[in-house]
Amino acid sequence: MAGVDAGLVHRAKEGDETACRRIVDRHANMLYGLAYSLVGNAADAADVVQETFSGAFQRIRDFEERSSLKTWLTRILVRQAARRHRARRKHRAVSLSRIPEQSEGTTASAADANLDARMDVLAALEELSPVHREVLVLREFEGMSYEEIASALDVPRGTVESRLFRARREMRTHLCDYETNASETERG
Amino acid sequence: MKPCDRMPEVSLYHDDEMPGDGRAAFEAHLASCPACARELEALRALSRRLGALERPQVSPALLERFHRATGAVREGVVLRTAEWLAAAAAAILVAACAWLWQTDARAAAQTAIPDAWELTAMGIRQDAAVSESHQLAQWMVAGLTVEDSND
Repeated sequence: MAGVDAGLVHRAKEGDETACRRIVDRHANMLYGLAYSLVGNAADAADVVQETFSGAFQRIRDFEERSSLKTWLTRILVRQAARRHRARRKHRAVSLSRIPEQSEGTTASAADANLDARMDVLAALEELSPVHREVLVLREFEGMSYEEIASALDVPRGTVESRLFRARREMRTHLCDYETNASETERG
Repeated sequence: MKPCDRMPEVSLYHDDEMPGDGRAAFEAHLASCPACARELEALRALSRRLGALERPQVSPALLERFHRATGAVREGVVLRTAEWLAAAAAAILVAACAWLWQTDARAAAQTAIPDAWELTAMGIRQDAAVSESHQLAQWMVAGLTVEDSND
């Protein structure tokens, strides 16, 4: 574990509130970005991060430090996000998959086109199953190695490889229009 | 384009998860396999697209909210510890009261036993007194009887 985090964890285990605040300061941005990518909106992402920190500090004495603090926090966050995703799925009235349809015909400017492209990428991410989204986000956004992802998700490395392969295939299927356009641009 | 059996390895190469010697061999394969080369380019394009997404930053207000939540958790832990300690103290108090009550009862019982012994002892003395009176009476009767016979 990174030296600074190891020291903070030891102090947090002894009930040092300043150490807890430092842990929040060091990891809040990373966790918030990850949560946003997993749940798709700022309000849920904030709730997920708050639940992650609450859960982490309640169980900080159980943290055996076999993985890094970042990996441990990521594992808690992924579980919280999956729980929220399941709860939201039950009550969700409008699917995010409709976003690309709503933005059809609104490519009047380059800025709009750019926004549309980003919306499509987000919608494609949303279309992925939670397990595929997790591996893709951890790899592409957090730059985690396969071993770190395996540790964070508590799955074998081979599972990470296969999920990542399928996740990328699925993303490319959703974004096939962009791939076709890119190929045509390259050829043209 | 004919798919290649080594296409799943493109991900490993792209993610820099291939061991050094395997990486060099795969680069040679990439140079001769258009399908894998195209796959690699598609993966790079996808990574660029995902990387272009804005990553939200935690605002100072949100950070303060996380800090407050953390403080509340710590207070909750302290409160739970205090509750646990209070419960433990109450249990110890009850146990101590029970022990004291039992000790008093035992002491009372022990006080009663000497009374019984005392009574028993007195009983023996009474018996002894009765016995002495009985002997005296017997001596007196015997004496009178002797006097009568002398008369």
